[in-house]
Amino acid sequence: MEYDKEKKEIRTTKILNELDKFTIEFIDIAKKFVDYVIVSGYVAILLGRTRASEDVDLLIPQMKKETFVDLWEKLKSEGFECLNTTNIDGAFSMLDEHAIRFAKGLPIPNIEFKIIKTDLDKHALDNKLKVILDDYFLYVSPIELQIACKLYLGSQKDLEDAKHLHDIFKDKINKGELLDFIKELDVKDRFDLMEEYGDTYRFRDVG
Amino acid sequence: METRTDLEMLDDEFKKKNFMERLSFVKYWARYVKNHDDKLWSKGQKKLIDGQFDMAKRFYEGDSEKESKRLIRIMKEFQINKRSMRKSS
Repeated sequence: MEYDKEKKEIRTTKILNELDKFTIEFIDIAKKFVDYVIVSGYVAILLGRTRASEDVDLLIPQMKKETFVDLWEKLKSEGFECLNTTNIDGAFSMLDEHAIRFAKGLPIPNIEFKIIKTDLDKHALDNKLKVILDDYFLYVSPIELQIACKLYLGSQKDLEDAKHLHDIFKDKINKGELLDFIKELDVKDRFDLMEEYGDTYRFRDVG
Repeated sequence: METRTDLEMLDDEFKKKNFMERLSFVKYWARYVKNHDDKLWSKGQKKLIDGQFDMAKRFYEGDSEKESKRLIRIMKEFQINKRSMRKSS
């Protein structure tokens, strides 16, 4: 994996799994209608974390009703359906209050569609990274913000995701920016714990 | 359901040790990803993730097959009962 900080690009030649393919298929449709950034667990998974997820979180800016309707119809024609409701108006209103989910065939995996609300959400979208996978690309949250947010969410799984991203990219990320986010979210103790605990046991090199 | 990782939770020695071991392995895996070709580590990731979705798919499909068989059994029993009621009347 190559991370070009100047271009805000990560290049990978990874073999795509079913979750990657599902996400690419959805984004391929959605990006024609709305700007987006992928946040949360799937960012770590896309970049090598060894776990699955039943959903992929997408942040989008506020949409006009007409654009949402066009997106809805296109998603429907490609086999995607909203898990919250079959009513377009209902789904559009729900977006003001909470995320709505789209799936294809089975309920998992699904895409969680959320409107940007906070300054950190906006920062994620405005400073997104392009992850290039052979013929496709996806936009994800900046790594520094993603690590801090994962620490904030705070479950063991989230700390593991944060640790994975931190260790993969620690030579490339902006340490000052990371510490700023850590301070803003008040998660310095979790960051220290993550670093301390990750150094406890050793494993031998294989492959 | 996972809860927040409060430092107090980690007073439980077993949980603490388990978490330390897990984080150490995450560190090891991150190093592996950094030091090996993307096509190599992603093979393992693909097996893990695709395997989980395959299991989920079979679960859903298995349930609908089970339900169809149950309905067919109920219909057959209904037909048998209908015939015996006609005979007795």
